[in-house]
Amino acid sequence: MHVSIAPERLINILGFDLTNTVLTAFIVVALIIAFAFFVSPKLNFANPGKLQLVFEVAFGYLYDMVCGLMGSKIAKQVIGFLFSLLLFILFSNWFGLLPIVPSIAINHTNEEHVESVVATEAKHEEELSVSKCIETKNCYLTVSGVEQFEEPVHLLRAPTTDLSMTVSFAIMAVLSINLLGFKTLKLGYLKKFINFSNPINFIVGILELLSEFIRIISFSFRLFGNIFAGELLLTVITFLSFGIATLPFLFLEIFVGLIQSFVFFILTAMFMTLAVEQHH
Amino acid sequence: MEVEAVKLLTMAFVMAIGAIGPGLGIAKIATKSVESVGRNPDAAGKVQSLMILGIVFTESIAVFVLVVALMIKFL
Repeated sequence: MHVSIAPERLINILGFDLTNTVLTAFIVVALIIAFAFFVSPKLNFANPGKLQLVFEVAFGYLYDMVCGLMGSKIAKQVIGFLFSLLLFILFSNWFGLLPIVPSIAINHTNEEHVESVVATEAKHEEELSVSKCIETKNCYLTVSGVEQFEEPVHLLRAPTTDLSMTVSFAIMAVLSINLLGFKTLKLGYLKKFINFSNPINFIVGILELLSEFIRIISFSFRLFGNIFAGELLLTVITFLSFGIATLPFLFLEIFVGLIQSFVFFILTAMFMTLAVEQHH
Repeated sequence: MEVEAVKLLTMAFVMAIGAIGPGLGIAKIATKSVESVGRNPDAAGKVQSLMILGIVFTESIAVFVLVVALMIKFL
């Protein structure tokens, strides 16, 4: 059983590593766009079909909640961004539960490790020696010499189990909160951070500035930890027993994926509300 | 002791001790919210939304502890 926090590299294109989470993210985005293209001609205002009704109920509930928080004038500007973020995070979380995700694996040797071993063993003639093998435990001894392990690498992995991706979501959310504050309050938004009226208010302003950065960490680690722990749990349960025993944990993971995407949405909406309120 | 053994032990202890706080916190939140719904059944919708929000914030502390434990073992 092989688990790593960092996503595994599949191939190296033009100096960029294509990891399996990025590949899955591309597939999720393609699926969402294809779904939008196929459904939009059939949208009917007077006579909605079942799928349209489901999305209308969900969107109506979320839009009413955001309107209740920040008023409908600002809610109209941000609901597009928030809802698409919610959809992307939701489908990224749920994609990791499909049965094709843990089953497709490709074998490739750990090329970087071979190069580093060659560089440090300038004195020896062969590339891998037995002593290095015992140290790193990355190879095994055969009749024809020492050979590297081939690590099977999963082809697909849920995008939100990648810390880089959740940090990007968090940075997008915090950046959009601050930009909305600047757009609505113009330069008065800076009064939240730099406030010279009172020594106490000055300290509070500094703390507000610090808490913006802490929000990035909190958003990203909450999403990453929940989804990665779920994937780890499923891997361990599958490793310890047979496939059908993961069924209750799959239900839990469906629920957790839904809740975490909703929480991201509602927290961003709430911080936006705090950012646009006028200070007395 | 070897580094690997210390890593395993530390990971177990970090997770065990770190889950005490959020566990107690979530229990408190749920208790209070159920009690308030019992006192005022009309406010059930609002109380439920606030409870979910409170539970999510508290649960994220447990998630931070989990991430630290995973980092000790795997990084």
